[in-house]
Amino acid sequence: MSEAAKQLAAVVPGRQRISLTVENRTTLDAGAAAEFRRAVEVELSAAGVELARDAQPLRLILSENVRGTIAIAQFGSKTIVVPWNPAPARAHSRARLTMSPLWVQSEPVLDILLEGDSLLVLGPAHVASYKKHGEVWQNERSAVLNFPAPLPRDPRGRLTGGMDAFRILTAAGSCTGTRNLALTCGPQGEGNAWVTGRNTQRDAALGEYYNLADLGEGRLAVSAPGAPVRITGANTAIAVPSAGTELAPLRSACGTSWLATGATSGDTDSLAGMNAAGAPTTDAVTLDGTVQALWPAGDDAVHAIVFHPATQSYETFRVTITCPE
Amino acid sequence: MLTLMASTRPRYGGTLRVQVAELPAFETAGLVAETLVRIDGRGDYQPGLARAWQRDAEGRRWRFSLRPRVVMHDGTLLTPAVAAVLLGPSASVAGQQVVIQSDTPAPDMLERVASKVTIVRKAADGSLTGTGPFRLTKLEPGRRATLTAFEEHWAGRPFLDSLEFTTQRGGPVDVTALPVSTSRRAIGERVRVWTSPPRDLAILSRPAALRDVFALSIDRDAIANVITQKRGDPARGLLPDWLTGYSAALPSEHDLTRARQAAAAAKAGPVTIAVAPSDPLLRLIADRIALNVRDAGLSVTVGNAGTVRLVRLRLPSNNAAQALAEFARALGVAVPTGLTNIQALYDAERAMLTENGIVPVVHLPDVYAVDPRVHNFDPARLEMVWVE
Repeated sequence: MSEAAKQLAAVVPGRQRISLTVENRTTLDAGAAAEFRRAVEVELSAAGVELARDAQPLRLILSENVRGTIAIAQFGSKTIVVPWNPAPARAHSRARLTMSPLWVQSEPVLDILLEGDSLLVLGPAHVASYKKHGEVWQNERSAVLNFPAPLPRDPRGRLTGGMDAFRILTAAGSCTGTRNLALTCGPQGEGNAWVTGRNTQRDAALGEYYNLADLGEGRLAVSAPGAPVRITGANTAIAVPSAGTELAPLRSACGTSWLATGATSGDTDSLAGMNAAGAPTTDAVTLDGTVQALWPAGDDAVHAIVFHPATQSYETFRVTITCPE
Repeated sequence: MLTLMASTRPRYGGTLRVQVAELPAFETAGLVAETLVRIDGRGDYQPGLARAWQRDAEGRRWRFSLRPRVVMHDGTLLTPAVAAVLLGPSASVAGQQVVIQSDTPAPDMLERVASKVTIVRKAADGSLTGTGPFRLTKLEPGRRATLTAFEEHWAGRPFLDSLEFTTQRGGPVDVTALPVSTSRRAIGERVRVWTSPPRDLAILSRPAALRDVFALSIDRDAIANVITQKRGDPARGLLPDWLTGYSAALPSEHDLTRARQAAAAAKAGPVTIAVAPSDPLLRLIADRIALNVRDAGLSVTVGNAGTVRLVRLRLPSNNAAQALAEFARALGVAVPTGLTNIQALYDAERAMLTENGIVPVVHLPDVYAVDPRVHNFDPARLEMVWVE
């Protein structure tokens, strides 16, 4: 940032008195604009330039284009334009749902498997293993997925088993693998419920569906193409129109049985815990992106994979319920 | 009333019916035929039918490694040999790669293969065989076209079963291309309006000695607010602000006092602004420009022929440097080179504006009315659209 600020400050030739105007034409907040102004003022001061209200104006503009943020300095007939890297914004999430970030990367994530200090990350084209050394995850191995058919346009997949013997299940095929990522891939085979070429799964009793959560006592929450989420079983079937197609079972001691995506606005989703009757039991957590997948991670946790459009990254969270005291 | 819908996964199936002013050119539109390389929204080159490429030091010889297991609509496997035949005489095969050879250095080869060269076979009867997500299954030239999903597409079949394009009015449609000047009231409340970032530029070319009179008298804000219903952006530069970010730093020239001085100094006779009769929006803009320039003291009319031309230029690329170079070619001015960073781009665009007597007026988006049952609408990526 300081190198860019130095280039901008160089628009003023030599030591002189100037006045300063700053325009923020970006989606960055006032704090980022203030930081931009401070950075340039520091460099101007170092170059012996003084600020005065009635002097020749230096116009600073913080702007953005399709590739990111740029900064512009105009003084007289001279204009300098440079790329500008603002400090990263802090993500925010708050609720009685507890979301612990686990992993983030720029490539799409279909599922992860976390076992102690070992991590397996499944993407549409690769699976990669990581080992934690201290606080840092280090990539150990990567393997290409050689399926006999292409993945569908809305690719989904699951990792099942453990690090020593795992299975990859997708609509393009299945793989078995071991910790050293020796993979054996082939057609879908037994136990793979994905519908070939589609983003749905199939069950003999339920037909074609997107996701389901076992709510206990014979009840299932099922999201299916063209229909709102339904809670079936126990001689009842009720619709839950406020729930989206992403859902996963999530147990808690305070009446929550499943987690669902909720009302959206543009590029953001929300998450909320629901009870077995389909009523929300937690405040909705508004995310900084859209939910790509909700997969159970044991009985009392869910892995939520979220795409952040602002940073074009995929982040996986471990979601649990914190019950009120 | 704002209705929030719970997020849903896309559905496979259904037909999207699109009404347009003219049918797309299916050989190049990306639905039926694809390119080796594609340009993403940021202007970066991404793999298309080629997954990797290399060039020699001079940029004359370019080698492309094809994506494996790509099948054409007739079941033919797209091998380097097949691709080379379809790419034309400048292409050949070297091992497992397709080679495109240029007699002169071609640093813009990726731009060419991304925007101008599709891999498609056209039969004598006009039928097309490509690799795209849709097959062209029925065509009434100028009137109607039906495309059906290609199940074996390398990236997965599209969500839609079929696309229907029509230029005829009156039948049921899901998506309608609209003139930019269409008022919200005329569209109706139930229908969504999809607006692209500005992609067209209305520009006055060759006002020559009268450049200052036109540039200083045109009220671009009024044109953008009134004629384009606030959908267009007043144009300070050739490239839209979403692509460069520096439009605010280009000269903003509306100054009627200076325009009158320039008109008085020019001592010019009557001037006609030529505008294509087939473009009603440009005619509206030209009429407004004529009003503004008359306020400066010049005698101006609008007609089919004239010394000053108001034209519409389509943004040729999401790559800003390439787009500026193509604009220069289209306007018949010197083509800038060496645009390797944003400072160079700004300097080149500013020089083009001040040295060539061209006057950008307004940037225009594409506008569509979209039925609520249509999801993920983007006219550039119809393979990702789905319907309820």
